[in-house]
Amino acid sequence: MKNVTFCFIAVAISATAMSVVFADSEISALEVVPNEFTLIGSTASQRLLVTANPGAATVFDAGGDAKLTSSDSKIAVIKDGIVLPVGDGTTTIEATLNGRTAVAKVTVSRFGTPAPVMFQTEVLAALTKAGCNMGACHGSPSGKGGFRLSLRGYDPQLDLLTLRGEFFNRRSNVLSPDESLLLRKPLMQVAHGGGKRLQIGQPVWNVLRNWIAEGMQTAPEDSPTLDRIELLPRQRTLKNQAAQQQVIVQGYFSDGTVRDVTALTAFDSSDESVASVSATALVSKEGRGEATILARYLDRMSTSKIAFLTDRERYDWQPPADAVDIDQLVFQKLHQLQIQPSELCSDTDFQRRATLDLTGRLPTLDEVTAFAANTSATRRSELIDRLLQSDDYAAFWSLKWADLLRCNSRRLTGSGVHKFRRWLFDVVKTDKPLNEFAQELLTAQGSTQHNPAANYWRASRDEIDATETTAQLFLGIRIQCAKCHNHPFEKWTQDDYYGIAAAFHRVGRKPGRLPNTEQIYVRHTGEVKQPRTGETMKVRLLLKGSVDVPADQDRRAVFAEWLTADSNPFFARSVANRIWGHVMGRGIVEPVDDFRDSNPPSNPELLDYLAQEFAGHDYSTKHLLRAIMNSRTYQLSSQRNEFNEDDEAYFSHATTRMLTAEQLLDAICAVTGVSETYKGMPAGTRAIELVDPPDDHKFLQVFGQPQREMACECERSSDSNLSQALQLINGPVVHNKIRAKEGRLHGWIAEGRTDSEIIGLLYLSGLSREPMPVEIETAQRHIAANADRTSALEDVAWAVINSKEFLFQH
Amino acid sequence: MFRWLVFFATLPCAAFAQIPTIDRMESENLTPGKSATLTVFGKGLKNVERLWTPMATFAYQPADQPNETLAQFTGKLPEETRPGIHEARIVTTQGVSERRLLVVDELPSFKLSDVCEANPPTTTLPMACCVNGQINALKPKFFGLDLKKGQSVHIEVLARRLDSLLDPVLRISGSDGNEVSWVDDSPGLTGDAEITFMAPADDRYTVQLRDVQFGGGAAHFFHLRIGGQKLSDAPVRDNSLAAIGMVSESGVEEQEPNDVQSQATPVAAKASLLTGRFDNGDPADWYRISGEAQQSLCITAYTGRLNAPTDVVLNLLDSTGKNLTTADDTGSLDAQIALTLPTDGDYFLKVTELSGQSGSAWSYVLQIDRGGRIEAATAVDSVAVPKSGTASIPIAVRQVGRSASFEILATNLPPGITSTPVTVGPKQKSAVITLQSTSEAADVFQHPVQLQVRAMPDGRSVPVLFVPAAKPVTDAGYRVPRLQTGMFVYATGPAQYSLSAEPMTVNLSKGAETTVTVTAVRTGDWTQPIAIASTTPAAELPTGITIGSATLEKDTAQVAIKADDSAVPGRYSVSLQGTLTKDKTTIVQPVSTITLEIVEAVRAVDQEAVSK
Repeated sequence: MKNVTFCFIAVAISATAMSVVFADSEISALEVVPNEFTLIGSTASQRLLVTANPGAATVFDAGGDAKLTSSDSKIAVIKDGIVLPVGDGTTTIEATLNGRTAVAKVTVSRFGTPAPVMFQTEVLAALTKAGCNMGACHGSPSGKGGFRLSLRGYDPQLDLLTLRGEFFNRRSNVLSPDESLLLRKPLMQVAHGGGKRLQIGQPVWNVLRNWIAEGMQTAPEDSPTLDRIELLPRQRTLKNQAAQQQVIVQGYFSDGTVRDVTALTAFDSSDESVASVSATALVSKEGRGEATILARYLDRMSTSKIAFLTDRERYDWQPPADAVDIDQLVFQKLHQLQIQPSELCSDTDFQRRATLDLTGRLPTLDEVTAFAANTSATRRSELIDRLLQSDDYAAFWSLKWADLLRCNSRRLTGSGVHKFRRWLFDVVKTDKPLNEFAQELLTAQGSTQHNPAANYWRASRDEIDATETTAQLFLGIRIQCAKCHNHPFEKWTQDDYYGIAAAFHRVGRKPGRLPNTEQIYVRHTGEVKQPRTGETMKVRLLLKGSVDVPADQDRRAVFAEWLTADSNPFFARSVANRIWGHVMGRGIVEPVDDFRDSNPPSNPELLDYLAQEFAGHDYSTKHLLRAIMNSRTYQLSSQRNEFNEDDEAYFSHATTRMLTAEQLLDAICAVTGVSETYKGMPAGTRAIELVDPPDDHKFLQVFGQPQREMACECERSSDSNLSQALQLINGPVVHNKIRAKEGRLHGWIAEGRTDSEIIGLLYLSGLSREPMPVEIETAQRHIAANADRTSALEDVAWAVINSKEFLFQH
Repeated sequence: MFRWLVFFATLPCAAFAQIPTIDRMESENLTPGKSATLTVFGKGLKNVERLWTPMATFAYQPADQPNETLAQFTGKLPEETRPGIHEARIVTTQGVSERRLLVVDELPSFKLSDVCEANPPTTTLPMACCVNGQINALKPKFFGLDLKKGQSVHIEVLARRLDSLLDPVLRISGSDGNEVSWVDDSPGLTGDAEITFMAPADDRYTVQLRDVQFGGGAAHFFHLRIGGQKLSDAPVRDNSLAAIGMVSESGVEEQEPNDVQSQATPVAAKASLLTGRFDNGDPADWYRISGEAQQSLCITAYTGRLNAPTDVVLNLLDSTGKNLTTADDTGSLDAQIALTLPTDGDYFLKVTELSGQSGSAWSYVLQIDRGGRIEAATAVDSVAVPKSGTASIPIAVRQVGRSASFEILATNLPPGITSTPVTVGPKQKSAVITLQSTSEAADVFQHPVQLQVRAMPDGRSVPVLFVPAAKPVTDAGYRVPRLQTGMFVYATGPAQYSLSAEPMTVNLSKGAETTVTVTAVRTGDWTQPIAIASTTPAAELPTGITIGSATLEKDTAQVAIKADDSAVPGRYSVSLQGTLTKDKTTIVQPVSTITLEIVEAVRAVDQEAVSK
């Protein structure tokens, strides 16, 4: 029976072997991985990675073409590219292709020793690979069809109980394994809501069937446990016809053994439009670019970065001029991917872009005129400096933090929301180092009246909320999943989650002396228990482990110190990525607050550089913004060329994006000269200055203004919808402001300005540029054709406001 | 206890008279030694007589047209008047307003000629001046200020400290519109703001003053100071200290360093007052207090009630370092610890700030009571005494570490107003002081009155705390209740009815019963029955004593007072009140306090012996 198992595995894998032939390729070297391994027991197997031209630009996977031979068929044989044991001993496997050879040494041991299927390391993995225990199926809290498994096998004891004993053992038949419901349902031999999940002969089927046939045994207590897995190759760039890559997963166990666990490992691709990955671990090219392959076996993960490149015709790399460090790193990546960056944007585009990015508003008419008249070679950097010093910058960037820190009057009642927003304004205006900012928030104590930073703990009402919020804000990690089970796509565990919670559990809250205030203080008692194990958690620092904190100390301070230390691998990278994402329209890691192995940075060297630059300059937001915005990369045009038209991730051109709700409303107000009225705020208040998102402003809501209920950038919706179009085309906001008698347009008409003057002013104020002759001509023709000049000019204003150039950041 | 005070504050004190109220006051030249003009905005400003302050009385300047919402006063402050925050009340023939606060300032007043709500500002302020005004909703004030580079100016706004609803924010911007300085809450100023600003360049700066939530209205008034030094709030703070009886107490100031137990500041055996402060980074203050076995020790913190932001935690440890008791908040008040000391010896008091805050404003005052503590407080700010009638002042009482009778008495009464000291029994949680108008009382008077607690065995006196009832919190804001030093009594016309009792002193033997006659004098057609009952709940009456009830169908009724055999000889007070309901109107009037003397029962054989 055991031999049947590995035979089925081998057959299943061989069925997916590559068929790409590189007969014409020149091969300078051949490599076999692993080049030395041990097969323990009769069911062991090892797939070999055979690589041609390792390390060279023309590297490719030669597994499907190379000939594999065993030097001693009494010890090991080759079956469909997989090495199978035959008897104890040591021998070699030789791979040959186009006259090149590579050799791997194999040792077979304990061939005659029984090796039953292991529940913990094989059955659970098989259930995961088949998708049985995923959240949408039997892994949901209530199970499916009366059959409940723990999510992704995080609770083996529960699963064992369910599989072996529930409902009088009706799911399995040891005497006749093939009659077991556990097999018949996923084979669709009887009705199954989850559809067909297994095929006879597949490795997963083999494991489940053999486990039942062997009496559904559990492994002895001293059985080795899984330490880690490794997905190989770790990184690979394949060019032109090289369109497939076999990957293998090596499992490292506590007894020191290494086993090929590829057949029972689940795979995912970070970008299906670039690379897909089959159940048999074959990665196939779907498009040009890079993708990360994630391998999951039991509760361990490993990733591999695979790039598929195709030489482009006429591509001729021209190193852009005036490249600063950021540019060098961006362009190096672009060159590698044969992407030619766009040209520099125009001065008018730059002024509009920089002003919107830093202040959230359009350049004023005076600013447009002054910038156009400035012929200084440093006019762009001068503009950046001037904007960074303005209150508008502080107002706009404090809005971003206010969104994330959930600065809303439902959580921060009374004057709290005003004081917290004002404190954030100060943080931005004074360019408070963001490590200090994070420290102040995380360790804040005292009255929320006197210490606005303490409102962080008013928004985060318990350690669970604080854990998730803090991780997402300052570590760039969405750790929520680990509350109920070990994170399915990351290395974070429940211990990590509740270890962080332990740092925040002792935050005390009591009513303040003044109404609608709270007093935040540190309690010296109280523990967090890991709900699954019942273990009392110590403060846990990610990748560092648990630490003991003396009872009279603030645990938060220990966490904050670790978080903001220069050596912390998360903080500077996540904040730098967030800042980059805000001005570039996309993070190097995107979404900006979702760092994980399966969502790697598009340009890790660039992210590392930005993080170092940020930390090395006192965690200054202004410094980083200055560095980014003075780069050629930032100043590239949004106009694409034939070599970067499909690039969305590598910053070869400016990313066009619609103005945010507040930017758009303020821009409409600025062009029309009619300000918006907000409840509880003085006349003339701009949307970006609001302390609290109004709950009754239709325009802002339609365009995605967040209500500040989540510490996630994703709460701000960037989706387009029909309501937005209706608002812009004939909504009351645009309509009434254009027609307002006290507005700019009517003022210009009253001043006796000519049509061309007014058209020019509308373009300057809305698009920050002079109209082109054809635009003037078109507008004038419309005015001339209309009996009502005022109405016609209102139409022109409407057209400017409804133009993509106005609506988009570009 | 404060919740209880709010309840009592709703009891009717004066019937139907329109008591004047003050929304805000504006002053001009309210400077020591100068003639000042005060303008009061409020309601019920009819038949105004004067504006009372502790420093001087300001005469009413009759207006050409009667105006019930505005009144002007003039007067001269004595030279020796201390600049700072002082009390003021407006006095009309109908009564006395609640206490309000005003600022005596050494800086000259600057009278605004426009609303100053435009930016850029239309008004430029001189370098040393003060400005009074109110903030309108959603409309910040903008003032111009011309400064040279390096020139420094102190800017301070008083609002919260004057019981204004305004939570002020100061923002200074340059002529380019960009902010150069800003302040919201300055520590120790109860939410007010102050800033010392040094001009970075020659410029015309804009000072913006607004409410933090952009609120505004008549109750959002301010006193803005440009230049000069920080204005002291010493007069009000002194009053607060006096209100809790600390002015004349023997005190101990902490001696730094006292951050650890071995550095504890010694506290003399007779000291009853500790003052300290958490300076920058100060983790804890330690004190060493000597005590005796079975001695009752009570330590009460005063921080929030004195407007300090400090939130103290008290720990009392014995000489071995064992923690005996801990207190953070006691009810809605600051920390208080009370215990009976187990042994003779030194004890160590550790004082910490709950959330580790420190700085010059983070101060505290501790009151040490050895042998028990009596707390008495009232929410009454002023009370009307009807002509030839009575008025009551409800008082909440609490004893900590003791259980004995004590007296409460009113002092500094105006001529013709009398009050019998009230004896408060060990079980009582409330008491009522009754004021009685005699025939010698003037038709018109307004008089400040103090109430004292006197512990009868040791003769100690402490003041009754006057804590005005907290105003409800609204979207527009709130006022923080503050301690004050006393209350006002004033005359009104005859009440709908008044009650008297005879005899006023009753001697009663244990096991005996007697009656007092309650007589009503009615006016007009208030002829309905009057229900007479004790104001003291039955459970709080002295052991063995019961007070009956009665109904005055006509003008007199008998109320029974009974002492059973378990009654303890001694002096007690009986407080009765009458309740009359006519249609939907209920009028409650007190009966003057009756003194009850319980004596041991005299046996018949003893009687005979005495008669022989």
